[in-house]
Amino acid sequence: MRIDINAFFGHWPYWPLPHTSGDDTLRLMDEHGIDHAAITSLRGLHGDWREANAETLALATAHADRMTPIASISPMAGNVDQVLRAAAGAGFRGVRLYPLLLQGYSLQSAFANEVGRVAGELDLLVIVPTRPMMNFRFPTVAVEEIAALADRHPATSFLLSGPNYLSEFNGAIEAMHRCANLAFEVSCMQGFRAMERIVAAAGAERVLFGTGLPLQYPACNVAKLEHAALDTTTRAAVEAGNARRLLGLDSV
Amino acid sequence: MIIDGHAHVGSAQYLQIDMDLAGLLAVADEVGFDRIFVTDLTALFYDMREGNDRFGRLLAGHEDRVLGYVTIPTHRFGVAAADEIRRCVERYGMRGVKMYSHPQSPITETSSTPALEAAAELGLPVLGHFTPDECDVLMQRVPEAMIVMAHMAGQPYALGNWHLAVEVAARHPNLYLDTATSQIDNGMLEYAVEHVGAEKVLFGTDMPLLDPWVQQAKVTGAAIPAEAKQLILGGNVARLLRL
Repeated sequence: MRIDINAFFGHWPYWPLPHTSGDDTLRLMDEHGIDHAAITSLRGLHGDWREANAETLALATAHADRMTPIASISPMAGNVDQVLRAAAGAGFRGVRLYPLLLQGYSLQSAFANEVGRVAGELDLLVIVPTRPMMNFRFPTVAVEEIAALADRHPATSFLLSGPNYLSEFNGAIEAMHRCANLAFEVSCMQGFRAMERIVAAAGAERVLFGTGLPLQYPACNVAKLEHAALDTTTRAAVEAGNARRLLGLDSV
Repeated sequence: MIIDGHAHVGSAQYLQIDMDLAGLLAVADEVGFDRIFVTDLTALFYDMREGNDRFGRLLAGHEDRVLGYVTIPTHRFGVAAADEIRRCVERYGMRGVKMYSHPQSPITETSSTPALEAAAELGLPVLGHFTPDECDVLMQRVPEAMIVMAHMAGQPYALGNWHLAVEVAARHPNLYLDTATSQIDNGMLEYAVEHVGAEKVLFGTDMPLLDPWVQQAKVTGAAIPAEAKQLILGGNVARLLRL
């Protein structure tokens, strides 16, 4: 079983993507041995989060055995408590935050803190990337900002996505040592033997496989996982077990 | 044959990496690389001559596996950089030139010309840590130089703009693209092959900074013909170096 915690479908305003539809995402999953994916419509990053959630839910419902929906949310949403309760009731298992880099709010804002608080009550995973993908055109959100949000909401599970190498990688490890409710998604991490190092430093139960497909080549992260020197138990946790636990996917 | 066209040996706090040649060759064996084209980190980030000499001495006995770059940390050596290239080719049989650059000392300063001209005269490829715009200027200034744009813009100074890298490479017959970068943007290899041809795309890993398995999968997993993958993974370097 392999679960991709960081998958998408849709369009990208910066360049045309070779794969855009839900069927494309399913095809990529099949080609790369990915059994299940936590998915979000890319519309939710820049466009209308309500439409994004509607199409994410529709796709995940149509392929319930292959996909789990992750919601988008915006400061424009108004009543965060109401929006997230409706999302959880509809079947979403997590919510993504794209603060300063794409959506213009701070992780210290009342909005972000309300998401953190309510997500904890609803057992929704909060995914916060430092960057939307590993491309140097995007400014990054500081790992410390994400860790501070996790610190303020210890009852909520957060997933840190986006760090790559050097200071980001080391900062992520320090943040995870400080915040027991912070886990790490690997799709942008490209350093040498980085998988082994993050697992050794943070613990196997806090590292999750992800690809960033279709923004990124899924083959790269599959290779990263398959060639990492991990024992069987650790590999199973990173590949699927941790995602299953954090998303509450008992049946997957 | 798989040739990693972009690898480093030695130690550098700047990049938090530390690997000797034996370690590098062990990784190459593990991943399945037949040859590695290597630049020395001491030469790159501290003392050009000390690093090139140290690395040059290591090359002896590894000629079947290791190809050496003469490393030029800054073009501001001017004519001395050209002399260093000739010295390392003559003494150690190095096969290419690695040049570093950053915005604080832009490679477009004319002091880069002697090194580029020397490399062109000797028929050596120049793996340049240059942006697409910089490459555009350099190729107009020294069109006979054979420049490989390190990271094909997938580095901070170039803002990750591989579309521009491809556009500029299409403009200059002697400008090539190196695939080594943290960026694994879906479609980047397909786009490059479509617009400049597989003959101008060269495989590199940037190991031991980056994960060689990830870098290799970027090429092997791309939706391009098998012949294109063979060229990128080794055929092009073999052709450029007449191996």
